[in-house]
Amino acid sequence: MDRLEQLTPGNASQNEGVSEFEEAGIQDRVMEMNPDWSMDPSGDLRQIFEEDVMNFKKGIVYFPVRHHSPACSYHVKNVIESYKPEIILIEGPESATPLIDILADQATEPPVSLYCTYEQDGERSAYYYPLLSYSPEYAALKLGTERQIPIRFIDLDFRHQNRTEEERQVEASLQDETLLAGSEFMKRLCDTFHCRSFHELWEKLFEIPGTASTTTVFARNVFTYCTLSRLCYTDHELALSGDVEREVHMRMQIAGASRDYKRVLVITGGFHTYALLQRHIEGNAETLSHLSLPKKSTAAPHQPFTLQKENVMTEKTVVSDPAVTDHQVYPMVYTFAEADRLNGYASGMPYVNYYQMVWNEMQKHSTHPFHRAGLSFLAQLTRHLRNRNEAVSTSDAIEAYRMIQGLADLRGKREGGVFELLDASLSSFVKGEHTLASDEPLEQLARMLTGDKIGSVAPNRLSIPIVEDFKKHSMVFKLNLKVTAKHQKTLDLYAKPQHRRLSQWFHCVSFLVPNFAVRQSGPDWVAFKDMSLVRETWSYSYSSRIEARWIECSIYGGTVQEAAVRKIEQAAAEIPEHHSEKMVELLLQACLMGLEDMVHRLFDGVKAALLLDGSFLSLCRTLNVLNRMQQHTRLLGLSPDIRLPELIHEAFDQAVRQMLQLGHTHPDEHALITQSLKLLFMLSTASGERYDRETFRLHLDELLADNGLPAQLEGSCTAISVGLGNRSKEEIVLRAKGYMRGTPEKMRKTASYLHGVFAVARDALLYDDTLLMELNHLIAELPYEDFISMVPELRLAFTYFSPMEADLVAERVAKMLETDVEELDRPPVDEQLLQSARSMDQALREEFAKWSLT
Amino acid sequence: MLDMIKPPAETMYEEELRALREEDTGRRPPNWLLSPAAVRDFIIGREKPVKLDGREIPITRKFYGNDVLVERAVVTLAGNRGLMLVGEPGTAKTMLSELLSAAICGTSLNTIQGTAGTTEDMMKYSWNYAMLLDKGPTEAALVPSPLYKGMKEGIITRFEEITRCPAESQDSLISIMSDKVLNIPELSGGILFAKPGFNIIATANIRDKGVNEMSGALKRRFNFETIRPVNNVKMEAKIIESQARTLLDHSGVDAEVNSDVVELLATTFMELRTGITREGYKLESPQATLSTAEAVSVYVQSAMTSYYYENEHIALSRLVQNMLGTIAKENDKDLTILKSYFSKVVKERAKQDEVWQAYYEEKQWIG
Repeated sequence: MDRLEQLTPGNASQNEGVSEFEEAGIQDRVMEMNPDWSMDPSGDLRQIFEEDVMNFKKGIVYFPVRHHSPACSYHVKNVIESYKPEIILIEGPESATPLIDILADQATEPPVSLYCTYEQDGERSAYYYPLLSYSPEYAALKLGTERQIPIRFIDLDFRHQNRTEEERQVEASLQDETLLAGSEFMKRLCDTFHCRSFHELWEKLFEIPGTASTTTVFARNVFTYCTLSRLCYTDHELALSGDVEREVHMRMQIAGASRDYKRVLVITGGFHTYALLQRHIEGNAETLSHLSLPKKSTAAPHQPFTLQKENVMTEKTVVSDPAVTDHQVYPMVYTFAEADRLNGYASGMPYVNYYQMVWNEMQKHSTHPFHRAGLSFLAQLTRHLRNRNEAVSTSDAIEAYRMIQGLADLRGKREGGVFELLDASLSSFVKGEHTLASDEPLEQLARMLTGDKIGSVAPNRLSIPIVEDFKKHSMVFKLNLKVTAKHQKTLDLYAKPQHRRLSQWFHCVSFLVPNFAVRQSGPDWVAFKDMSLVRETWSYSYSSRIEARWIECSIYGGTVQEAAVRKIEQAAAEIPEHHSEKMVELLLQACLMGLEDMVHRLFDGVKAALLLDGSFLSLCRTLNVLNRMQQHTRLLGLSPDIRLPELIHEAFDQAVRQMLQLGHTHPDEHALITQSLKLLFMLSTASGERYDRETFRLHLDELLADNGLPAQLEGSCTAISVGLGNRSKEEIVLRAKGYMRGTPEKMRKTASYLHGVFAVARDALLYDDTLLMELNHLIAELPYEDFISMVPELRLAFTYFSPMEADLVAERVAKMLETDVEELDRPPVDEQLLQSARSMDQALREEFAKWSLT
Repeated sequence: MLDMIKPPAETMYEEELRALREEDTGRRPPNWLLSPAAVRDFIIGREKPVKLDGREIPITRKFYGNDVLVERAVVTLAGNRGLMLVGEPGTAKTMLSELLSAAICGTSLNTIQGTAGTTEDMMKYSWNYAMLLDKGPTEAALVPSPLYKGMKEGIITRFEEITRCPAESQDSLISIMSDKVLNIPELSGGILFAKPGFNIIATANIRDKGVNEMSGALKRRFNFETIRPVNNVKMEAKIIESQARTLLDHSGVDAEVNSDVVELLATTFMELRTGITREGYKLESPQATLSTAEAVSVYVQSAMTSYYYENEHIALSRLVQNMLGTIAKENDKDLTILKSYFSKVVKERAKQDEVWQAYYEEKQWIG
């Protein structure tokens, strides 16, 4: 019997190729599960299958698949070889049809993906269409291209609008199989077959026996299984999920192809096959009415899915969605980590790397692909654990291997699959109680089963320049984009020019695509921390999500640098024109990215913003950043530019000009203002610089003349004036006395005043006894409650002193009080004495009470 | 009624086992009475009843929780390594070990009951000294241990509470488990080879007080299965109900099991054990072990007290009194935890639910 005959249902003998699916009596069980069905639906499905689905005598053959299933791929290849279709139609975004030659190119290595983006109702949406080497769609693309058979994608390019907000936020897969896996039918089947999940059930019924059954039997089982799952949903639910709309579109595409070609092969998810059948294309859906549920159920608010005419959206109702605009599709790399549905993407099978190995074995025509894959993983796991110094032995691996076989026997599987591998590893490798601490073998196995491979796309006309540029630079900098693991780079910033360039490039990349590289240590210019470090450490990790972000960045330019420049320009344009502080931050970032041209352009922007900025604090912050840049020009790798000092002068002048508004500021800002005044003071006294010191002095005088000036600012301004030689040192003490001996309200502000003074001039207390004496007097005179309320601010004020300086002050106080420092440290009453007095007091009270003397 | 307080599993489920044996056509490991699949079905039950002498015998579920664990345990026993069941007290380790043993070799009574005083002699063999003096070292004078019996007959030996035995006694198992041979130097040619079908199911409590650490060598000879407490109120209620019914029947107490009270009890135990209420509020957990077995014991105690003193099926006042003794066992803090559970959670639910209202009214017993 040749292959074609084997596959054609009409020629197949009655008992040929009975799979475990049938042996397990699935059809009987379906009936047991839902006795409400008016007749045996699986029997009808068999008939439909033989007449309409896999009837090689007809012009259209449907092959139902599950995405990313090695067994489906195996049989898809068989069907193509036997049926020799004139065209292959595949469930995939239709506008990606021109990209098929890129996907099927020799140089393309899965996992790859199509990245579809479009705008809908003003919102940007994106989907992935991942392809692994064992995806049936990919197997069909490869073989079809090899045989020079035309191939088309026939699905809609976009997804239904009725998605929840949550779904919109997650970039979903175009191969969502939530409905297939979540049906009541599946849940009941799992219980009946002792399977813990849909995946185990699928593996047990389809993957493991897959290569041993004939293609016809395999396809029939997939069709029956998926269609019964579909029958659990109502029309309303299917319409809500957007499936009905897509199926109408696919039916139109199939109808179109069947007019032009004599043998059409349609490869779609098994869940859709039933709705795409030719009988529905031709409109004679009535013949299927017997598949509807009995009246009792149809009276339910949601109509169950039936393909009766009135329930089916007709072709006429479908118009391309006018709200969908700016639609684009790109081929891009994908990763095993993202393809694994365990990582949160609702498509295909989990344990991607495991099935990849199974597929590789199938390609080698191995008779026991699962067996060999399991063995290989056990060997790898044992080796890995041993390298990590875990207590494992070959005997553990042997026991695990025996358990895989034992469990497979017990569970009625031909070979042990991934779930047996997991169970066997749990029993054999985890010693003692299974807790987080002893879970390492299983965690490692899970990582290995997922794998870390990243695919590659053949060079093509659609290559996106920025993605290419990114990859080219990654190669130059020797970054590893082949696997998804986290990698680290330590850069010797100031010693090696190549490292400096990589750091700048990392800054550019992080600015555009935040999740690729993260700076873990090194000098932080923005927060001005760890400036003494000379090395910078970055960690980076590549994935298709990163590539998708690059594709989105392509609107900014063709290279990473261009895009960074363009994005900075855009960011600069969005900053309100008087926010000099924001502008200077951008300038600093541009410096770190090494975009010197941009830096020079931003100088103008900062200058313009400085002129318009009316906020003293913002101006001082700008001044601070500019000053740092000036001080560290070489570290930043900036070429000397006359305009930077000019800008600093401008910022200084502007800040001084705004000083007069400080009399009426919020107390929360006083600490910052004090620091800013200190900065101005510092700059104005810097040698070799010619800042406008005179205006600064004048404005300080003006502020000090104001009686309403907050105490803290008064303290700082006085100290600065003294420092500039504008006033005598005594003025600090005089003004302090004013507070200390003033009205109670003023007296309470003494600490605040001192805080301002100490922030600028600690020496006022360190080397001058008058202020110390006055302070001592104040504390002695102060009522207890006032003292307690003043303590926090006094303590804060004294934090400006180093421990040594504080000791010095203490010594002077001790001398003043004619005692020693130890005496000052001692508590006024000894704790033990206090306790004994208290207990004595208590005893006396009790004694008095006994004698009724209270 | 059987003339024993707690009949062994093979007696209790005698019919089910017989029916399965007759029906089972699956491949069996040497000396096993059932195939691994039938052993699994016996333990976790199955929908389809088995025919025996023209009658339909339902195969009931006896172990609730992790079905995959049962499959792993069965496959482990068919191999070279022993099975070690570990977990918190009261998680039905012993029950599972009995069921496995009864299904595989028809007896769950070949058991070493481990204590701090278990010696190597007790594990291997000892001598009938009168006979030893009379006849010298002969096989007749040898007193076989359950381990000896298991090896000789090719059946399962159960080892209860293995971690309570001193480490040196535990270690005497090591070479027996690897070589499957027991040397008896006192007898000429005294070597006992284990017959196929022999294996060990040990149960161990790892966190309890007074347990010994197992050596790495011994650990390597076992496959470990960790049994966790049931984490589903409905399932726990089902277990309490079925076990309480059996125990009350055996005690001759003709009291109906009240499923409302059972659910109340299961909810209280689960919430206190997990430290989270069904509404998602956080609770303090008492130190005392709140296992399902403890809950069963609280129910049975309460039902018996109510039956004899109040002539009722179960009084909530008795339930609260007995619960007090179980939960506030370790220290006074646990009592405070129970009190605050009543004054917060129970009080809140009492507003909407009559059963909880009645429960709350018994708060007086907690003080």
